[in-house]
Amino acid sequence: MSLLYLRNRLLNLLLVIWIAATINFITPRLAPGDPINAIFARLESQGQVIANSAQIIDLYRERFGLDLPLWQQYLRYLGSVLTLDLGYSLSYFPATVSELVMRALPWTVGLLLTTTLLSFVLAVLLGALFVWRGTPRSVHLIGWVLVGISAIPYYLLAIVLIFIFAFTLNIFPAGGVTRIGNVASGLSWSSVWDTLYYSTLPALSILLASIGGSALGMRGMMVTVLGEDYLLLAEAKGLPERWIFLRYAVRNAILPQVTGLAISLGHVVSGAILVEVLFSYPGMGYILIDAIRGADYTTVQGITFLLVVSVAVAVFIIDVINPWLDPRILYGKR
Amino acid sequence: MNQSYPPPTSPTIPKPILQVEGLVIHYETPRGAVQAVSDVSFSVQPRERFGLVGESGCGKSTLVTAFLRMTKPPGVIKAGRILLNGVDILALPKNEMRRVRWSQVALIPQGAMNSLNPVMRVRDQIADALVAHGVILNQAALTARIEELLARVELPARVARLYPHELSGGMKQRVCIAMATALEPKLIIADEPTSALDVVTQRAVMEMLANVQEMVGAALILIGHDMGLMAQVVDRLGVMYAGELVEVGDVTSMFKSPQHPYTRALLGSLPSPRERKVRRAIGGLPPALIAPPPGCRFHPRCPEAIVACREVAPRRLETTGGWATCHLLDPTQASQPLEAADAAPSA
Repeated sequence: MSLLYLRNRLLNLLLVIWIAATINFITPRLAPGDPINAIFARLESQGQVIANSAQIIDLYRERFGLDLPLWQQYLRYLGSVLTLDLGYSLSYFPATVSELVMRALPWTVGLLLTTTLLSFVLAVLLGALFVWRGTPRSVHLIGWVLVGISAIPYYLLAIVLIFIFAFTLNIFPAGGVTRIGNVASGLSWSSVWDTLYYSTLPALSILLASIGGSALGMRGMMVTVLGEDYLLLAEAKGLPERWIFLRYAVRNAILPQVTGLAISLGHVVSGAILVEVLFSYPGMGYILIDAIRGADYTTVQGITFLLVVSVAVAVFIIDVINPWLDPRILYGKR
Repeated sequence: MNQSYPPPTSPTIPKPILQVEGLVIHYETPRGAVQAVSDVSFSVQPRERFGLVGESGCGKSTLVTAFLRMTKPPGVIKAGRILLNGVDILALPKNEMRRVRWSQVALIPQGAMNSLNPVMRVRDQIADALVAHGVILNQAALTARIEELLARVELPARVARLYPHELSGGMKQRVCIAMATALEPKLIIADEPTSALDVVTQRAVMEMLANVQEMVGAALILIGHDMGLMAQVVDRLGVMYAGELVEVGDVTSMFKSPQHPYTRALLGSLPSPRERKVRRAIGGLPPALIAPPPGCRFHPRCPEAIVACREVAPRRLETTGGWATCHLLDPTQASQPLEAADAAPSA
């Protein structure tokens, strides 16, 4: 791998993050008014009387640096972004956005990382088996049922799952992440089991909704690859079927799927918003919705920024891996 | 090289390496069966170079695909036998057929450009055939063998480390040739091996193929539609038309005196520098094989057709150096020209 290629990709990554941060900085400032005034106006409209409001507003403006010229604000902002200081949450004031995020992130990443990877593996396998001779009928049947289910939006699927498994059959909990009172018990077998148990339904709704679509994509690629001359030659070479399947067919058909996987991994930090809301799952999606509802701009901005960074990093990683997966993609050459 | 090969022209008359008997292959479509290969019989001797020519869609590729038993649905082998080294490959169990492929019959595919796996190094693509057939399993021996194979087609050893997209078209084709000889097969099938190359490269690749074939001591079936190329390379020639083999013979006598009107038409269409124009083209188009014409399949386009051609399928008749299926060669057929027969009632 050429260092030049790596350097270019890295510069590209930093550029994307810088642009995203800048847009993130500019957008709220384009809106008329001033956040502190807005808060006071809201409080006053609710009938509260605040003495010395003008002074307090000035104090806060100074404290948040809003009295500085725009370019100084911008530099301060970039500095704090670099140190991952996303500021205070407006709704949960003494708490910082980073604190909120750190509390929610493990839940979301745990749920979405697992489901995204699992969905990728299952979809690739299923899509490949769809077009392979000798695939048992039962696999075809399961596959087509999953493709059918994938037409249902995942939040609708979540509601159906809650209805069937939580309310009617009462096997799984309808929401939350642990039994009440089990939060602070630390890492133990029972708490791990608890977490798995509570995240089964959310995970299932995401999996069921996503496998079918990606499996169809994989199937399409497999059909294309199976028509290639090199598959014919592989068979003529007398290779065992399993080799041809894995090293020739799947190996080539998987390339676009891997790119897709990287991008969805980048989206992991933003959470599966509707699923988290429906299952009251305390992940990123949940606090994002909460922040939007509560006009908690700093939190919304912070999460948006994290999302951009994680997608950019995922794309960077795929850029680095891709030439290794597909040697036709060249390193550093124009 | 530690093996020594007998000289190319061995005096003994061995049994054929490939013997095809009454082979019938159909493509089953909703509209009916496309009769892609109809009752084809011929044989190829060890070390022989056999050419197979015919227009696009006449069944050449369908035919040779069957020699590897790789006919895919909707294609179905309806009848006939394919004896490879005396063994009927159509009757072999699946796993044994897999072992026969490449070790006894190898393929140099039509589209060499796309016949190599784009994400595997040349080395690994040659190695997997050796490993799959259990020939060589140790890394050092494998490397040595691959370098030797590449040297056969005059490629440097470093090519082994390259990916297909880093090779030129001619190099890819040479890799395919090297690959085909990896297990020293008794029969090499080359399906239009030079069709995607320019004339200079074509010549080099053809020479390479002929040399390697002689070195390995394999028979060669060369498929193509370039009569000029065939004349230079093959010993015997088979002419296919609309799924049937219409004439087989040694290449010199066939060029000197083609017996079947279709062979004559094919040779007549060769351009010549002395007459700078397209020479006699064959009128019309080949028939749809879903409902081939009755009698001789060539009769609608045949300038010499007689009444019998329309009604009776011609027999196989001996010629000097081979055979042909044409009523004109049959002394028992009354030779009333077709035009005269059509003209008679109305006149």
